[in-house]
Amino acid sequence: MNRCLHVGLALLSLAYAGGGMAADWRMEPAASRLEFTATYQGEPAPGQFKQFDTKLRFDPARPAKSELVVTVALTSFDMGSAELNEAVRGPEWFDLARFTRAEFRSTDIKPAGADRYVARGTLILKGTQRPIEVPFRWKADGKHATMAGEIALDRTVFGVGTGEWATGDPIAVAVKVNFSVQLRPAS
Amino acid sequence: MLRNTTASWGGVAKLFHWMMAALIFAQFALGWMAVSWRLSPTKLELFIWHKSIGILILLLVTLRLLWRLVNATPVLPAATPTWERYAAHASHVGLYIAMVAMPVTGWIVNSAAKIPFRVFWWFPLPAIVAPDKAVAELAKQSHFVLFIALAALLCVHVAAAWRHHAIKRTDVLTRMLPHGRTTS
Repeated sequence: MNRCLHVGLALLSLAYAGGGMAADWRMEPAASRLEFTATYQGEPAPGQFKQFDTKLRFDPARPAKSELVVTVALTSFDMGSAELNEAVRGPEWFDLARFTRAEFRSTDIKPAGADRYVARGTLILKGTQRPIEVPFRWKADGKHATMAGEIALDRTVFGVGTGEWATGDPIAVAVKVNFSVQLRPAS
Repeated sequence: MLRNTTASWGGVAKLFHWMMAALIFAQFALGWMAVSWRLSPTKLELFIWHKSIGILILLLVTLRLLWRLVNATPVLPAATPTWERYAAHASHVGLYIAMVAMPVTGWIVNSAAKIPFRVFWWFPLPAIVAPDKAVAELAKQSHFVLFIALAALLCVHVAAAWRHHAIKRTDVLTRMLPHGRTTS
């Protein structure tokens, strides 16, 4: 009985894959990057998250059935400067002693022009949940797919840079986030 | 009387001297406050002022040295003993070295620590070394040691000027004053 069910499910999923239905994708970490750019005194102060993961169920032909989940190890951030890293760890900024993970989970993905889509969903960062939209470009060949894009976040919405830091001077309130994620079909 | 003579300093050299004196004392205060302030936007602004004035001093000392090269240097009073001549020369060389090395080591700290910085909120200062924690630490220590050396040299400088004026009754101090005239 159980075996029959499994075989049935396997056949069903094969049928889905063959028909170009919603596909599951896994991230290739070595070829993926998640970067951010803060602005200090009008000058860019770039950084990156070295550890993050992307799980995607996505078929460009049927984006409505999709789901995107990105988890970020906040502790893996690096601004290439020991002093900046030390400052940003503290309670007024990332507060890594209390918050080690950020997560984005989509509610839907909609097409927005050729090879372009918008994932709407919720970002959880430093204990705050807010709806955000993540536009991205999608490119796929036989073996891989990449999704890349850029968003601007208001850091104060998430309590990143509290108190006197929330004024935006000398560290701007807007932070750019860039991502380029390489995916392969989940086997 | 913009140019120097062998008897007295000209207006340009006096302006350089007193501007830099004021800026250096401002730097002592700003640097001390910036380092000891708790991490806050105010601390960053203190550092922006300190770094900006440091770059201004580096520019001024460059112009000042060039001006010195193309001008006569007032001579010491004829009665000055040889050891004092050597001491005066050595302390002036030391002061010039410190006035160049303080901003340069500060610039290295800022570059090695990879801190973005606009001089007087005006233009970005390029990095002169690659980001490196060890280099930043070494440059910070050098900056502090140079500060101690500069403070000590300034004590000697001021004491020697006062001694020339009050004890030896020479015009070595007055010929650097804004309206000072040489008595010889």
